[in-house]
Amino acid sequence: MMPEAFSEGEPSSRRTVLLAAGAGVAGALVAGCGGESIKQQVHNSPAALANDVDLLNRLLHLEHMAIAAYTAGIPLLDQPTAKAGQLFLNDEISHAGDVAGLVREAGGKPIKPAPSYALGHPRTSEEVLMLLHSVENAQIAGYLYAIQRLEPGVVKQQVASILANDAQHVAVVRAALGRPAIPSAFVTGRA
Amino acid sequence: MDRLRTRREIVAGAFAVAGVGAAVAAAADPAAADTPPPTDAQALSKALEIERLMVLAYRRVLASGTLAPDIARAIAPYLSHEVQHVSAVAAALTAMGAVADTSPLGLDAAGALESKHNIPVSLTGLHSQNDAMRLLVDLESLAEGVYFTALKTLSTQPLQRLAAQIMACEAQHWTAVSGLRNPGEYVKAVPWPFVTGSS
Repeated sequence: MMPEAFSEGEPSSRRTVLLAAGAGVAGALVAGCGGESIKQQVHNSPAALANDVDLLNRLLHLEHMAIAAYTAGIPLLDQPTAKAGQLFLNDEISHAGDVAGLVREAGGKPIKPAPSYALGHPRTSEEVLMLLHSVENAQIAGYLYAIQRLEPGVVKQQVASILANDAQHVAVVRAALGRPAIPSAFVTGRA
Repeated sequence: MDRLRTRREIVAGAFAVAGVGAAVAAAADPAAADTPPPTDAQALSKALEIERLMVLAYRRVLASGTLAPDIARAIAPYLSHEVQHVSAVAAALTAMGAVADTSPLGLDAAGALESKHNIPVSLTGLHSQNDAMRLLVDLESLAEGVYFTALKTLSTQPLQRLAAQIMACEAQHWTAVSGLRNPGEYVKAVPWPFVTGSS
């Protein structure tokens, strides 16, 4: 269901920049909604439970992997698909910042990005899209698994809001691959 | 960075306009804290009502004659998805012993629902492709929101999974329809990193 292993390591300088940017994007959500972002609303609600730290960190690992995949893959994407890729990279950075916040709320320490990820060696735009399709689906499967286990309900909502965004990414990636964008009435994270 | 800043502004504005996250905020609202949370049956009954509205909306849009043939072909499968959502939610309600009305929603009831949720385009006022597509985008937001809200209180894992799976599908519909309205403008098809819908 979810990747079992994940490794920790010191972030590269580039990744540090990405994560810093992610914090900025997440912070932008503070505006609006009476000055209270979803993240803040979650913070004002019962916190994620301490025994959810491991599960949340597994989700964070998937976010780090997605950031790495988009970062490495975007230069190989055709235009205008690369524009979508950059957009989705920004989304993944926001997600990572948000999940890291949930880990902290639960009393844990967010894992850092690994020095590298086994992403294969895509060389063409289509191969990159296949990789992104796989990575996005892994995230969706992970979030679906987590929604049924994380507490309280506001954390389920937070995770669902990320899952739905990743589902949107998959639809666009599938369309770019020439496949039906939305093949099923129920999103599962399976290809 | 200009594009990113613009996108952030869109995000902030959208959150402000939609009042997103009211259900989440309720946890910090003393008045709301006195209101008992909805039962699973109540939450799913609301979802079923919105799904019946979605079915009616796709049927009327597809029959309106306002869509270009390629756009009609693209969105036609989504009607089938909405019909499947009606069946799945109704089955969940029936399994818990609750009433599940799957009959076609009437236009009067649909109009009342649209008014209740401040949907600006009427099902009976589809005069152009733009009207039709805007209606679908607004209703897909509503469908996302009903599941987002339900996820706060649904009590069993199968119901939580079902709600999340359907919410994600509605988000995909939103992206597809918005993308068809704005070809090549990905920022309008996937404008926000967090999907919460409207209420």
